[in-house]
Amino acid sequence: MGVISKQTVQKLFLLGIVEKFQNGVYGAKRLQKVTYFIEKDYNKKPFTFKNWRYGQFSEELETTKEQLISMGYLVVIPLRAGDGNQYYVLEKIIDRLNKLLETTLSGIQSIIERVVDEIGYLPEKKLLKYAYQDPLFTATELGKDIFKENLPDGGIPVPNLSDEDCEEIELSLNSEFTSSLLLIKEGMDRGKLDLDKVQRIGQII
Amino acid sequence: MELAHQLLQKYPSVKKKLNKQIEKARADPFHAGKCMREISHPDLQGSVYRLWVGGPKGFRMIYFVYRKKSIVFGVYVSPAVRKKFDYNKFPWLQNAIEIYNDFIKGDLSKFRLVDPAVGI
Repeated sequence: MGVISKQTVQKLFLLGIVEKFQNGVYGAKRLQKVTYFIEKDYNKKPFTFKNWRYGQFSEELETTKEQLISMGYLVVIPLRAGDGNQYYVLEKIIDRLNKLLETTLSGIQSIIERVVDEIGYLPEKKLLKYAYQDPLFTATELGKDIFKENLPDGGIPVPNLSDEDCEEIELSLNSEFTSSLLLIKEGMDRGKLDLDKVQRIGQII
Repeated sequence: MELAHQLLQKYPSVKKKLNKQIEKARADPFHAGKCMREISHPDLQGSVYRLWVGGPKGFRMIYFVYRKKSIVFGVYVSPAVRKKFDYNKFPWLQNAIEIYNDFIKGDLSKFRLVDPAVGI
């Protein structure tokens, strides 16, 4: 049985939400609000949400979103000026993603589907009005946490995946790992890689 | 190289197995290790491989195949057996920045090329 880290579960969760939107998510604010209402109905909380200037907001979600974009899992299309971005998940990872998400956060898929269906496509003004009237939000002071992330620090055990499979998922969704490989590749592309200058050895000493 | 030395200082008995795996990766990079197909970035697809050093309870080696110059680049060797390290705690970027800077400057003194000449 393998284990998937908290950071990886956060990424799978966010991808799972974006994927449920038929034509991608229109705007970061929409993604924030929809994620908030999904977490509100679920016992495990992948992200901490606080009461912020524009309503329910998760800094961790923003960071995770940026990491997914940099790794190529989330695709961003800029909308007309002032309308923000549209976010997509690449088609080819969707099947695998859904299976993984259900294994790590059991029962979450049906909540995602319901919340996206109920509020995901509302016009932005209506969505924000709905979000600002949420009792849990109105009962929380500005700047304070509405709820805290509560995934286990040691990660989530995944009974039907081997250690090896979990390791691959971990590394593939590790943005530092991906960025470091891209940097090394860029160094090779742009650098002065004269192999004649490298000391040759028969084996590791 | 530094990672390999760290590993060998702590576990000298692994040396033979590590050399064997380097030789395997060097000789047949696309079949020696398991390709990390889950990596989504188009620039990395089909280029990153991992293999065991000392079997599935042993150490982990990750290499990158740079097709343009037929180089097999050893990216990582775990300093402990797989169960005892956390990928999220390894300073990937810090190491990559050093490697990047060395490549850009053309300073290859920290790298070694395992003969025959297809890998650094």
